[in-house]
Amino acid sequence: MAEAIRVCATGTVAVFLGMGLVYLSIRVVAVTVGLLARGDKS
Amino acid sequence: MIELRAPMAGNVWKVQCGPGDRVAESDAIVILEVMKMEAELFASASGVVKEVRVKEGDAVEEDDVLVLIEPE
Amino acid sequence: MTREVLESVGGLLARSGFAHVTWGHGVMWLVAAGLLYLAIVRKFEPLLLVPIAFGVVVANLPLAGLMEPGAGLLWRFYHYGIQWEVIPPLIFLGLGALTDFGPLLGQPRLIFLGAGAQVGVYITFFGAYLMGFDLPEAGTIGIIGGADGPTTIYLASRMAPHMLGTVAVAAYSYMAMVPLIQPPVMRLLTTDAERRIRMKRTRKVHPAEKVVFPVLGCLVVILLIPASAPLMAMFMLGNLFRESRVVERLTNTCQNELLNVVTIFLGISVGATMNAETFLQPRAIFVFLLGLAAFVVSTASGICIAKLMNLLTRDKINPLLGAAGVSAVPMAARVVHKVGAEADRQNYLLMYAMGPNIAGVLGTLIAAGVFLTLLG
Repeated sequence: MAEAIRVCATGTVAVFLGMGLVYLSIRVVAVTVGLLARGDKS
Repeated sequence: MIELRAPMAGNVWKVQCGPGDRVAESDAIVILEVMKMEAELFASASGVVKEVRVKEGDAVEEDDVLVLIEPE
Repeated sequence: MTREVLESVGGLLARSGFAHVTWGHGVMWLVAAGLLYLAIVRKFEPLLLVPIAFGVVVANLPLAGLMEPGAGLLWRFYHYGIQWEVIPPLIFLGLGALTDFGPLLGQPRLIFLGAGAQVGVYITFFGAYLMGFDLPEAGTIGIIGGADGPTTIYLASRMAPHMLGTVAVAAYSYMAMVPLIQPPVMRLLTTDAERRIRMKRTRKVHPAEKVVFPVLGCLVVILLIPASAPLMAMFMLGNLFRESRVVERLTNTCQNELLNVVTIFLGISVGATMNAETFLQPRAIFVFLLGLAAFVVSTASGICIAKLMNLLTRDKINPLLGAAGVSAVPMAARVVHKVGAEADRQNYLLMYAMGPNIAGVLGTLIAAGVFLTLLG
């Protein structure tokens, strides 16, 4: 029982952590590409 | 003049109005095919169709103007 | 002379399959007939259910030995394709080449809806454990709620191979039934006003972002959950082929020929694992019931996460989008669009729903990786 609860809790945290990392990388890439594109124009 | 714009990219499946047609608000005047699903686009106001800028089979991008309507 | 011929024919018949048919075989043929009906007449995931059903028929022919370890043809497909973990990653290569991450990159916050739907996976896992399944079995059942066929098969082959056929059939049948399963849950959990919420316009995504994303996304996810590597790596490679736009031949092969070829072998191998001993058990019924529960709970948890996010953000999210967080690409997104259009027919949710839909695939991959790490 304790094992099952541990897996549930760890898993849920890991999924949100993983998706959070993906979210951050999307934002970082978007900002970087935005800056580079602006640099090209000037 | 009121513009009917494409809410998302897709292919024009059917055009159900022509220039000069009187359309009522919420008539489905264009049907887009997006990801194998039909999405009906409704006239945003009642009036007379001035211009139809697409024909069946055209690929449209998001925000393209599809139909111009002269409101009454 | 006549007697000798008759005896000889009798001997042949005694060594034929007819003499060895059991009631279990008969029931499995009926199961296969049911699957063929669903696939051919009702058009439920025919690309998978047709080869699966045929696999069930021929693997349940006595004396044919198609699944005999080390010798049978279908056993070889199963062993080298699925047990060696080759086919599910190849399927993901094709899916990656078919996936457009654009809607996700345009509305990155919707990614958390894809994470939210995975909560259902863990709730179902817990429920299955309480009902007496051991931990690896419970994990395999829970992942059905992720609504992702190849991930389910991959996890089952690693953690509970004896349940492979059952969970695969459950996953694919429920994915086909998404338009029936999801709408009642969605209507129950949302108010009319919530269903009418119109989303803020998606920002324009630069093509360079689409090229960088598969590399960077693959990197961070695999670094976090190394066990997700086989599926994640192939998924993102396929997507890089697509978005780089310089290897169109490879993209086309992944999307069409390769995906079709591996789908055939996936289907027939999965079907062949279903025999009377493993499939005709009372527990199989529980697997189906829990699988259905997994779909319902995942849908509900996706919607609840969307509502939770609405408490914290200014630009409101239409909570229906949470239902697209179970993967089932693109059926779940279409369902969201349809239910949204019932409330407000000028609300076009389809493209927004594709974001959480694809995020759900990533979420299920991570959830499967966590199960493998903790229980595998």
